[in-house]
Amino acid sequence: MIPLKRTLITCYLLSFPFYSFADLVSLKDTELGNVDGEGVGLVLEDFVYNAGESINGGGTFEISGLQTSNDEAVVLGISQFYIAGSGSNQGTNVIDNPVNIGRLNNPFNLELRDGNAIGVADKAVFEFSAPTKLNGSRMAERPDLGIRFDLEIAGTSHQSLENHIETLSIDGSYVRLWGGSGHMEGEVALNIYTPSIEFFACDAAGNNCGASVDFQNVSVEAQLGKGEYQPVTFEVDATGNFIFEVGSLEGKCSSINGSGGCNAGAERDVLVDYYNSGPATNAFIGNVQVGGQSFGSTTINNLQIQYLEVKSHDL
Amino acid sequence: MIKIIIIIATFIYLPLSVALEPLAEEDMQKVQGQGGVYLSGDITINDTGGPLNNMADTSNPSVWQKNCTTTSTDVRCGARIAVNAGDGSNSGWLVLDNIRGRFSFEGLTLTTRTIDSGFDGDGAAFNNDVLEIGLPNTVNYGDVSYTLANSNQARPTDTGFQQTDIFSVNINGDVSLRGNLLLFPTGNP
Repeated sequence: MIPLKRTLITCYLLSFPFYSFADLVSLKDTELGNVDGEGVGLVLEDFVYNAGESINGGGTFEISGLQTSNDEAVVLGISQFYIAGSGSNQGTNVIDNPVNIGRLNNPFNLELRDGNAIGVADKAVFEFSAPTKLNGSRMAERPDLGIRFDLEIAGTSHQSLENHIETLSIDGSYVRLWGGSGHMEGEVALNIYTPSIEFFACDAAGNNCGASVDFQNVSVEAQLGKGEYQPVTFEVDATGNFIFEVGSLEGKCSSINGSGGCNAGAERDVLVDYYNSGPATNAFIGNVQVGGQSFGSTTINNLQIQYLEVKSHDL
Repeated sequence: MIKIIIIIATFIYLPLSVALEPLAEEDMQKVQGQGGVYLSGDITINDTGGPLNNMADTSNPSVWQKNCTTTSTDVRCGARIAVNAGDGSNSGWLVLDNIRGRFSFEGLTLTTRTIDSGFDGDGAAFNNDVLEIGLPNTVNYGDVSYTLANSNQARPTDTGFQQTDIFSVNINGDVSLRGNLLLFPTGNP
């Protein structure tokens, strides 16, 4: 009798761990293959932003720190700053006019890229990019945005200035950042497409607005920097002033011929490639209208910045 | 005796052995993620005190001694974020200084959601899960201010400290912030 009892108990005890492991099934190759996660896509759905001193029951929204030449404090009081769907009618139709920014199949994207593919040897490059131009944002996915601000000098409101941008798209823009030798380097592309950028001024109460300056059908495609070859750097120097620099092309050719040109070779090939297909800025403005008068169109083509240094100085 | 042991043993082990069966695909599809998270928040930063203590008082070195009312211009008041993006000793700092004030919001939601329709036809092709951060319709700012500046030192108490303020922002009141931020993995390996 006793051996049978022991056998039964032992059998039950042995069977327990077997059942415990039943749910630990290993993943197959095909299942793992579905996990890709190259980056993080961001889409804003039904988005509205509306802030300022003349909406939501008042309040304060000020930018200060500026001075007139007589050392009087200048304060920019922001009456309204809005981001909403198209048809916002210069900020009057905002709250019930939401917009989707970015597309599910072409979103804003945060990722770490392989630097070897984009001219930064053997480094990981952080990239934040807007939707690509191919399959880009449709008209309904392009927000209106604008700002109205009052100019206050020494506590007195003098003038109200307004700026409104219609159905803005920044498709194809990106910022890439990587670590250079002890400092941060980067590369920037900024694309702006909009049918209208309008500026005008009104009186202190925001009424009796003057004639507007309207830039119509604006397309700007600006590129700054080319990988490690011509990096863009953002620094603050030892005296506390800000320096923005686009690397110089000077000295990129070490073998100069008698007439000052670059001798044929690898360095010359890179320069030729830079001039043919390197970073360039193109801009097109369909029409500039000032107070209803048309000034015609403006085109800037293939502007290449070969060195730029912007430095702040304390006054 | 054996009968009793068998019955007891059966009652002890039988439920376990049944519970530990893997779920079939159809059963898994019936499992629905419930709810999500609803957050309300209220945060006050450096309203009346600065993070840098006054080191001059050696008898009481490690407490925050500064009285930082909203009108105070003391350089030790307000939080400070200093970022160095330059070359070692020859470089300075980009600074977000004097960060102070109160933010409060009601109804920030965090949930997952399957999108398989809408978005002007993009939803059906997307057919995937996203993390949805529901923005809180209104964010209330209570005397929130910050200053963008350049400085030659990380801390205002460091020797030779110089700072150029570029501009200051001061916000007090309600800001409308509506919609959902959707996050999801992109790309192919």
